[in-house]
Amino acid sequence: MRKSSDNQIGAALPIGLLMLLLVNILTVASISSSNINMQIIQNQQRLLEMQHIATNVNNYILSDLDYFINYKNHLNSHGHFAPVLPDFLFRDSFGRTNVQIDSFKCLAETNATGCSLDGLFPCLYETLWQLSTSASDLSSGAKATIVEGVSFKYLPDHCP
Amino acid sequence: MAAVIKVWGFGLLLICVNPWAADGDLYHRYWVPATAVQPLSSHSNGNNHNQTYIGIFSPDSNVPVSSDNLKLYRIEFDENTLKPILDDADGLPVPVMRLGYNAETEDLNPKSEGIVIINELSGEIIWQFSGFDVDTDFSVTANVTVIDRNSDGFADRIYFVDMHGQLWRMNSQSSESSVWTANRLLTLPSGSKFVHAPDVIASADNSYDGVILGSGDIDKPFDTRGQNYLVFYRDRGVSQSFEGTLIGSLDDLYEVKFDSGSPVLDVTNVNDIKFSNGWYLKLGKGEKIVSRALTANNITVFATHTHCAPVGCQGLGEVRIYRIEPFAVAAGSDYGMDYTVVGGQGILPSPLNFTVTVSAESCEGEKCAQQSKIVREALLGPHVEQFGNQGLGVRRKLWWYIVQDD
Repeated sequence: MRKSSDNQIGAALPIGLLMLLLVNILTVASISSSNINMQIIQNQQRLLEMQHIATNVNNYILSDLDYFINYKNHLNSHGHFAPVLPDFLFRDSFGRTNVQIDSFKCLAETNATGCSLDGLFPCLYETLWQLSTSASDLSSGAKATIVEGVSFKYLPDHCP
Repeated sequence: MAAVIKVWGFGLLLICVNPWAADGDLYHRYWVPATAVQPLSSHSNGNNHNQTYIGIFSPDSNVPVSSDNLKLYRIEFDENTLKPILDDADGLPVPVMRLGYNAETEDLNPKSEGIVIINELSGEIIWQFSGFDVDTDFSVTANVTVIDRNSDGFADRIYFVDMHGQLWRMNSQSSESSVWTANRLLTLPSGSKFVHAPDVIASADNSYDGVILGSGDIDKPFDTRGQNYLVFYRDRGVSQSFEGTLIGSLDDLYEVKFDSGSPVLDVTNVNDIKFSNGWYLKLGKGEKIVSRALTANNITVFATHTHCAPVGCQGLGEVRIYRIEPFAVAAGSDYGMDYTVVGGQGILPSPLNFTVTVSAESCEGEKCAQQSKIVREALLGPHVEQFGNQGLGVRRKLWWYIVQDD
């Protein structure tokens, strides 16, 4: 006796196909997730790199007395602080970095005591400066802004 | 009249001119130097450096100074040339002139002594304190010390000393010159003469100003008679017009003594009321203070001269450069006082400060950076006096943070 195939029962094929689809989806999702994670990590690395670049620029500026003492010499025609900085500060492995000094200004000053008040030996002033530098990676869009505040002890009339 | 003194402090330069070179009465005209000038803080005219003033008044020193008998000349040094400035309509620069030194009568001319403050532009006398006022019948030959205590660019107080061993303080805080006053703070024993401007220092807590002054008649360096003093006077009326009690004399100050080169201070008396007034030091026999005091980093330096050193009256005498920490002395801690004997120099000039930036390029591979060190000391003749670590140019990081997009 011969049985008709129409009478067969079971769902092995659809289930198999469904499982195959699921596996495919999982595989694609996993790969996609992996790529996203990779991009996140890369962006994180780029962000860290931008932070380091901004920090380097800050350190370079803060370590040079001339930027404090002759502050006005480093202003552009619009009155913004725009020093000429060496290239190596901006160089990175991809070379698509934009560095910008947002602001560098003296916030306040207080005069010291224990010195001749008539100006024959001018009292030193404690000045407070704030420097803000931004570095951004043009490819990833990662951007970091480092803000630093320093005190600077110097002669009067150097807190513009 | 309403007036405000624009502070023009810093250095002062004296020009000796021959008064008889000017036309007019040759017998009654003489000159007095005025305190010269450089803006202490903001002054819209930045061309006021290296100026000096010369006042000539005539015809007779037996009459008080007035705009009619006083002429003021201002001279600007420009690349080693003297160039008179005819007009400068910027603010109200006011030279403060000392009056009264006359070689023949020395300090016995009561009619033209004290100080006078002049409107440089109009020549008008804004304020004067001279021989017609009580107790000011002595010459003021030392430079005046102008103090801008609140750094607003205007004079708050002027300290001056005279040839009778008196310390004065003029209050000029008001914009009304009619209420300006001068008060005598201290009188040294008879025979004391001040020929150098007092040094004024703010205390650490800004509650008072210390005034350091020393006596010594350097016009008579060989005269070893008389006693000279170094005085540290605490002026506690710094924030208001003078209302306090006049100290009067050295009896109201604490005496610090030297013994075998070291100061001796009775620490049991540091809370004595005299300490709150100040202290003084008797100099050695014949020792005269020959320079003004200069203070930085809480260290004060000045020079003295003794024609007859302990080893005898030969050569140029003995010169000492004193270093004191006036507030430390007052605290009775380590006395903070010392001196160095420098030989063969004669009378040293007043200390002159200088600031030098020493720069060097430091490279690491192709990366180079400037490294700088600032040196700020004072010269007394050929001697360099250091003021310890002043922290000049030192930077300290106070805050650091990252701004980034969320």
